[in-house]
Amino acid sequence: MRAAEWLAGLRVGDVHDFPPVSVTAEAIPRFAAEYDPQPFHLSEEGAHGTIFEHLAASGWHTAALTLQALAADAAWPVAQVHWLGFDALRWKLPVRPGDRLQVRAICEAAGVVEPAEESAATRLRIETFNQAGDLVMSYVALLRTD
Amino acid sequence: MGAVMGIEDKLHWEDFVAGETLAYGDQRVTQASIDAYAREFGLAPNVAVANGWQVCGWCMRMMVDNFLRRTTSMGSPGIDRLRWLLPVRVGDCLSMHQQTLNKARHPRRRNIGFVNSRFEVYNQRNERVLWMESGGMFLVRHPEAGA
Repeated sequence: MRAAEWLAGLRVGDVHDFPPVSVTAEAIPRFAAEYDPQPFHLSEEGAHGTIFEHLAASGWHTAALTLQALAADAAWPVAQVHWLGFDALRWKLPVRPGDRLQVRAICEAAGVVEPAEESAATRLRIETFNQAGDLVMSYVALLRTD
Repeated sequence: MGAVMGIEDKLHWEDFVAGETLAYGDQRVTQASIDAYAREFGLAPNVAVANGWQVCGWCMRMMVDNFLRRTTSMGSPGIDRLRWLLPVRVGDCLSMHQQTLNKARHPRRRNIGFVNSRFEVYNQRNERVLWMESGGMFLVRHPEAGA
């Protein structure tokens, strides 16, 4: 199904679970070195004495892993449509080395083609859970049906 | 010069003032960087436009290099709103403008305070490509002082 047709067909309450993605101990400091070089994302020692206590992935790494999950399922081509932005992104818990993340999308508002305004966007709530079933991140994506 | 900044020299929660602004950044967008991000996270290959989430990563890098390094940053609880306004392409050069909006003490952790800021990101043509309003957590210098 083409991405635009998928988006136009979404209805409030539609839910989809995406294939899991994992993060390695090697990937966390590597991502941080390029995009978020703060001590608690770069090494275990750097996280000691901070509110993270142990090495934690950058929140933008969690977001990228969530995008990886969203891009991996042709049945819900979320990553192929126009994203205006997002609201209410919350990093609830740290993502740690070895975590396996599971992403769920829930349609909160079905968009319309006209008018081409933010209020007419499809609102998709994205929730990312770890292997213990705890919510680590959530946001509401604003998607356009154009 | 060159000495590691002591924690007392770094910006604490008390040092942030609503309305203060700062401009910085000189982030070049390369094909190699777009390709590496696309490969790692399973995105479509061989595109000249960066995924919006990678643009967020470059914003974070500019913040860390130019600002957060001088602070007692303890991460962020989240982003209230973010909008992608224009595509970011290979060859673009990004810079940022930040403004402190407001601040509050953490309801439970006495040594942590929140600072909310608005960030605007521009390309080399001074076109605004992204804006966001987000929170940061910083150490409180005097936790015993009234909230």
